[in-house]
Amino acid sequence: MSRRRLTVIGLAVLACLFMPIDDVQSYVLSGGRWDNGNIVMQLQLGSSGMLIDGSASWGASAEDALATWNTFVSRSKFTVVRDSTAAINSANGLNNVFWSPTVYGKPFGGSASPTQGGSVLAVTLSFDRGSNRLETDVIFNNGPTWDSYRGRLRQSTAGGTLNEFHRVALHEFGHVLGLLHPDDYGQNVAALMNSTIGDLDALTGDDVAGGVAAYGAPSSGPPVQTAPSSVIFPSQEDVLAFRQALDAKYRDDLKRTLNLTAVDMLGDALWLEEYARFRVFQCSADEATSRVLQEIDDIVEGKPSQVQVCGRALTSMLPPRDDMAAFRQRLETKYRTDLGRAQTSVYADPVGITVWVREYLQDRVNRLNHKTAQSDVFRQIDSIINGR
Amino acid sequence: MRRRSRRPFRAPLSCAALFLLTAAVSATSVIAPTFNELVDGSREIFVGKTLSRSSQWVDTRDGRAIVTLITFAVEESLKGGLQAQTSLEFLGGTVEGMTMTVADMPQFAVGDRDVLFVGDRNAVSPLIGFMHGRFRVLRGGAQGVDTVRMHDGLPLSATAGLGRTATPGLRGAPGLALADFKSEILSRVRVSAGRVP
Repeated sequence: MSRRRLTVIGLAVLACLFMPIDDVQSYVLSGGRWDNGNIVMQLQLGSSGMLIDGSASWGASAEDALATWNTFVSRSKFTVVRDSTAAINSANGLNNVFWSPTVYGKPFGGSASPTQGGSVLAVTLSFDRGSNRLETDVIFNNGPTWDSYRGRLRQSTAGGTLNEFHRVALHEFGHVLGLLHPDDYGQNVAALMNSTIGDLDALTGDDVAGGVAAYGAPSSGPPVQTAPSSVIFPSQEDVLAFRQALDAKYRDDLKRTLNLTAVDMLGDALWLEEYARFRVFQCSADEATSRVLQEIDDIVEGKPSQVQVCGRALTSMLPPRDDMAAFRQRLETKYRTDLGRAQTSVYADPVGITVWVREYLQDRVNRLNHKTAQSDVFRQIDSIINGR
Repeated sequence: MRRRSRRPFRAPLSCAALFLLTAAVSATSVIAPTFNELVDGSREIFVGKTLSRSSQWVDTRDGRAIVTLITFAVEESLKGGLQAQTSLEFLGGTVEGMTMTVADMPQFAVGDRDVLFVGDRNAVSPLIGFMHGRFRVLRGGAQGVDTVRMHDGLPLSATAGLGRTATPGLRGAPGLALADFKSEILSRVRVSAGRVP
């Protein structure tokens, strides 16, 4: 694959991975609410064998999704009847959660192939009298291929997407609580309750805010940790622009001489950010390095990358400078030996690159815009130059 | 229900091409169909205006349910040869103070004008992919040109952006003219009709 093609694909990958998403609280609630107390869910999902995420059964995965919601709401909480044998019927006063090829006798509809667009994966039905929610049933379509896992959506060996049960369950149980799709109402916010889903596998701050608005927040309990609407990386174009400006800064203000490196400025922008992202999303230094290198290999081989993050973002703190520098060194080797890149001349040295790109990314993750973040980093550089 | 203002979308257009490659985005309960999947999967496609809606309880083998019958005036049939009026039955509705809601189900009001992609009329939603099979038609403004909007009210700028591609990439763009949308539908209908199985 040519360097240009690698560049174009890399740009597209990173631009989309890190495209900015407005963090506006945009949840939308339906009119129906549960009375204070327990919402008893009849889990009737049968056995599954061990699932990818270690869940022993579909019910276990569903129970985990319900427990996740319980962490954030107060007045009403889910309880479960495991392996329930209750009657499965519409309008029977029970909250049935089950697999079926139909929605109470009606076909799910959509395409002939369960992996094709238009296919319906799950349906949540609710019965409300006035504003009182009386019953909800969650029906999962047993036609498509499913598993329970975290991270990016995977491809099924049978073709198409390997549908991910846990995040769909989280979404459907959000409907049970009364949350609707923010994006269906013209909102632009990171939320698992959006009508489309990709690699987001956990509730975001907006989802939680919706649950709290409807049922109140727990007065005590574990610290609220949500992902990842609060951890948003800048667009790749911004990082590249900063990297280029940094080189000009080293040339014009620091009067540095040229350094040779196999990693061009685009490579710095792409992969330093990607490494930082993996670290924020719970990857160890080794895991993050390995995953970035795998992504590079995938692009070189021209195949869509299946590399996933390691978990939900629990912090917005980027990895230490030393870790970033060690990764940058490994990237240099990768570009020189595996990709056979010729050395190019840049003014910023590898240590300066990693230190200042990291600072820039940290500012951006902390919600500074490009211009402000770049000014902040350059002010830091100037203060060092001036001995302040 | 609360709503906030929407800020302009800032992602690069290259995203659309990337999502075509990765095909990783799907709706939670519905796999968002591409334009071709919409047209090919539809048994009927028409431009219609909602004339009436009525809900009632029905008994099924699995218990009682509420269904809503929507009657449309067929302005133009693009596939399936519909007559002047047609009715579609959707699961859910309100009867005597009891509301049965199906998450994602499109809601119609009398007077709504839409382009509708109908799949299995017996399905829980007769529209392909629930709300994905509905496109709102907006009456032309000063220019007098009717335009097409997606189910969320955002302008549809290009059919190539539908489905597994990044729908948000369509935000902020001018809406596709109804005439152009119909033309693309008819073109696809002709292509798929002529395809050798």
